[in-house]
Amino acid sequence: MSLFILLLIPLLGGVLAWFSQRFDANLPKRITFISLLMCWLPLIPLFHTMLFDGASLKKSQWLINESFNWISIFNIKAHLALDGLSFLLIVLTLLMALVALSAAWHEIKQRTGFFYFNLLWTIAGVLGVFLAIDLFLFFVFWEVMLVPMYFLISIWGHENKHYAAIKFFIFTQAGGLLMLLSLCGLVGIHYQQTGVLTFDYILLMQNPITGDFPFWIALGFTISFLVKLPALPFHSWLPDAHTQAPTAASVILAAVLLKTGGYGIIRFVLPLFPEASIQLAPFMMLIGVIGIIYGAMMAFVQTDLKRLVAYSSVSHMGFVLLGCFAFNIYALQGAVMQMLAHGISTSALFFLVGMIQHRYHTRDLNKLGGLWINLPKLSAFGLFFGIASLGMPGLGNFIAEFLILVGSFEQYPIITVFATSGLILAAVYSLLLIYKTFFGKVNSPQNIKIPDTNTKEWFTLITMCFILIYLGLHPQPIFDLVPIKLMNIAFVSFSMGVSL
Amino acid sequence: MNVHFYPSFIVMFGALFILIQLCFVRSQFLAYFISGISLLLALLMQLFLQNQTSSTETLFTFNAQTSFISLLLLMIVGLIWAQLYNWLKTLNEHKEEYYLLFLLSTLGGLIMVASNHFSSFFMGLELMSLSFVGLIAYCGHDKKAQEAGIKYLILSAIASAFILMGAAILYLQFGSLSFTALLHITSTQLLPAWAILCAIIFIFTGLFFKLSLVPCHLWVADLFEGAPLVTSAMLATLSKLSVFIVLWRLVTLGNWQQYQLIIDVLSIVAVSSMFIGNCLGLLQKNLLRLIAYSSIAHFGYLLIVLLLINNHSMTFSIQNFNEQIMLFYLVAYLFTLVGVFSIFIQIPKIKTLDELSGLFWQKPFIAITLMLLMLSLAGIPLTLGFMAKFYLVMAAVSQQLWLVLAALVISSIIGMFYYLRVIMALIKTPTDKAKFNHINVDGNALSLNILIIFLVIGFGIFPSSLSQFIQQITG
Repeated sequence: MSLFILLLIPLLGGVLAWFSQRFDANLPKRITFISLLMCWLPLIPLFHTMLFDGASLKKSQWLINESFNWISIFNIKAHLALDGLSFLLIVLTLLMALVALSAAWHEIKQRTGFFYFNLLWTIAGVLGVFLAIDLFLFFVFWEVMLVPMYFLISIWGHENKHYAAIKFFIFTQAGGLLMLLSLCGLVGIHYQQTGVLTFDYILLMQNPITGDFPFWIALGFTISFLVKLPALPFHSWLPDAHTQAPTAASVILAAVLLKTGGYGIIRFVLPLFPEASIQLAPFMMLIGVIGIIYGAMMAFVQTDLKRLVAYSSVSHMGFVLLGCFAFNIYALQGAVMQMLAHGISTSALFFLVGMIQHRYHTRDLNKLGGLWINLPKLSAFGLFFGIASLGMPGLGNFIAEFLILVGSFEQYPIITVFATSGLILAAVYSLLLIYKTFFGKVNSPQNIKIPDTNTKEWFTLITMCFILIYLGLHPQPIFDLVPIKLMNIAFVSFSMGVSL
Repeated sequence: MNVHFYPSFIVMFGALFILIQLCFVRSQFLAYFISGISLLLALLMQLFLQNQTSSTETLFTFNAQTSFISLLLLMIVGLIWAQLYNWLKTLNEHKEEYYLLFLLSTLGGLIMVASNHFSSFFMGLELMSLSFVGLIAYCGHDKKAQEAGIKYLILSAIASAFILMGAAILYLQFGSLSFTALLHITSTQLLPAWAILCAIIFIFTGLFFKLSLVPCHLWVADLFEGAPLVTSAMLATLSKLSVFIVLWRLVTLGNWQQYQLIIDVLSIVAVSSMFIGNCLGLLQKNLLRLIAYSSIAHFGYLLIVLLLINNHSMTFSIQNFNEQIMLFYLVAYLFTLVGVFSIFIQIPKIKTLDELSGLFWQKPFIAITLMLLMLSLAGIPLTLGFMAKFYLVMAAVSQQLWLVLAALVISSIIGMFYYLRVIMALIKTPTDKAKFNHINVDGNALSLNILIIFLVIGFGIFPSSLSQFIQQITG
């Protein structure tokens, strides 16, 4: 039951937060804080086994496996399970939820109850996505997490919020419907070929479907994940959504929502359609590389700070796509690492941009400048995360990008060479960001006293710094947690010819 | 005397009582009371009849499915009736006749749902249509309502003429007007195949008009906008439900899938209804017109069921799967739609999206109900509307109707835009705080909203109970 409890805590907390607004406008955020802390409780037994007894992990893929009947007519089950990959992403989600809460603490002053309700329900939806093993249940969470996010953007967003919210919702829902279609196709064809009607991931994986269909179904799944990732032709919702969203929603979007795309590819596309994904791989690698270069180039022509960070996300998530389809254990581990490191560094950048906007009421690069003089602490953090984003050795991002490039070079040398240029381009936009914002000419009026980071912000940021440094210096525990071998990505060993 | 006739009799007697009452005393409450009692008795009777043995007569057929559909129909009418009293008080007309026409159109619907013969079907259809003309043009001073009434009168007469012509040609071939006669494909083919196709298409034209499917959809938006609100609700639910049941029965019994042309016509009508309905809704500002266009699209989705009938190749080894899907979809869609209309009845002065803006912050409960209903219409998971759509997609996938499915997905995405616009309008920051002061939520409306949320979300999260019930009926 612990996984269901994990889902229920934020759901109930959200309802409670909404109602508590009647009594006190400050109550919702406290309730949110408490319920986010309570979410860690079901995970505590896991920390115990994982950190102190790593050897016991190797036996089976699933650490916790819980299942109930749900819709009997189609044999749909409420099946939640947790393995190392989902564990890591859940930890990331819960951490970033705290960061989002910290960002919202002073920013959101109106309609706090409904805001925290939506925030918590988005978190619950994302947790559900990472836990659901029944494909139908996965789809339900996949779609449902968008609704509260839509409200977050369209109610508390900035200037052009309605446009951004509608664009976000329609893009992602279109992806979702495509996934529904592929899902039904997969189940229908699986039923035709085996006579077993099931939506269960584990059962579907045991008897992969054959024929012409897998390619098209895999394509459908992949496209719907690419929308969320986002990869090049489907990325245009992201800059708008990020720019217009309130800081807390940007943090959640960047840190967690984008990761569901990468998670979907690793969890579903690769194990369920091994042959089809080998066929798809060259196109996906190409899309990934184009995304890396395009995202980086778009990033350094932006004048809006948030848009810059958003485009850098497109660039970084291109690496994830590259890592997923390189069919190499290093690249896959790199992709997982990239999801974690990017989640932390980018959400930290959004957090910083939110702080700057809160203080200067602008995100325009041309109007900012010389922040270091007024806000030394904030600027130092900005420098750190900007450098993390360009892939400085010693930080998590470097490990991730390095592994992805090493892994994919074996299979696709030419594409990888182009991808490597993404690192240089990342240096360009990151340094541009740092230079224009924190150094250079002071544009803002100096006589106004603007407060530097407060304790809460400082504590949030310093924690994120330490996590990034830890990921960069000692990544091995993370790799141990994600046993690629057990994840039924059988073709990895075939195509590599290398023992895992 | 067949017990299955009792619900219709009760409704008929209710209508007659109101007529007698009108000779002696004019009292809205009495008419409300009589119609309520007769609907309640009919509903209870129908509930009691669920387990009765089926029987088929020349004119009517009664089995588990028809009694379920009649029950559904009576429930929907009952839900609309529950709000009739307060709503009618706002009109400046005689109120009692509205109940009379209301009951008569219900009776027409009940007759059609159980009909097994072209004559009984036609009788029911005309009884319903003519009552609707009265219901639509009920407000004598309203020019839009008058226009809508005349439009409906003329167009429905033309539709009836088409249906009659089709029935006549079929009579020439089969020598009987009974639906069951369509089953037996006579060895002596009197008429050439094109004549029969012609007849089928004539009948389709008439029925498509009533269902407002493309290309017979042009009337529907004007009518929804012009007619009194409750009449629009009846048109959208009662009329469409009973006509769709007849269409489904004709296609099933006549085994019309044997003609490729019919399949093509149905597919084209389905696809174009989805697209045109949703595209027309895109920039619509009037709420009722928006619902009218969405209903075109939804019946387009539902037509997919007709493409699946009599095609038992593979449906997940579930008996009568297509029937179950149809019933599930109808239940889901009609309850959602009744919910939407009852919200509209609660906010009578709000006609456009702009007037709706900011409702969420002033009257949250009404707004949340409307939001959930819009999400259900758009087909977002954990709502009843999504489950219906999911069942439909599963069925269509099992028979590999990829083109129609692609149309369904793309048009759903288009449709999502205007459902979102409604939600967007609801959560906008209100400009005028006193704007919604005229809306008073009484206990009646509140409990109705709770019931709607319970239905839409409850069955959306746990659809098993509903689908098992439907399974029992069809199995």
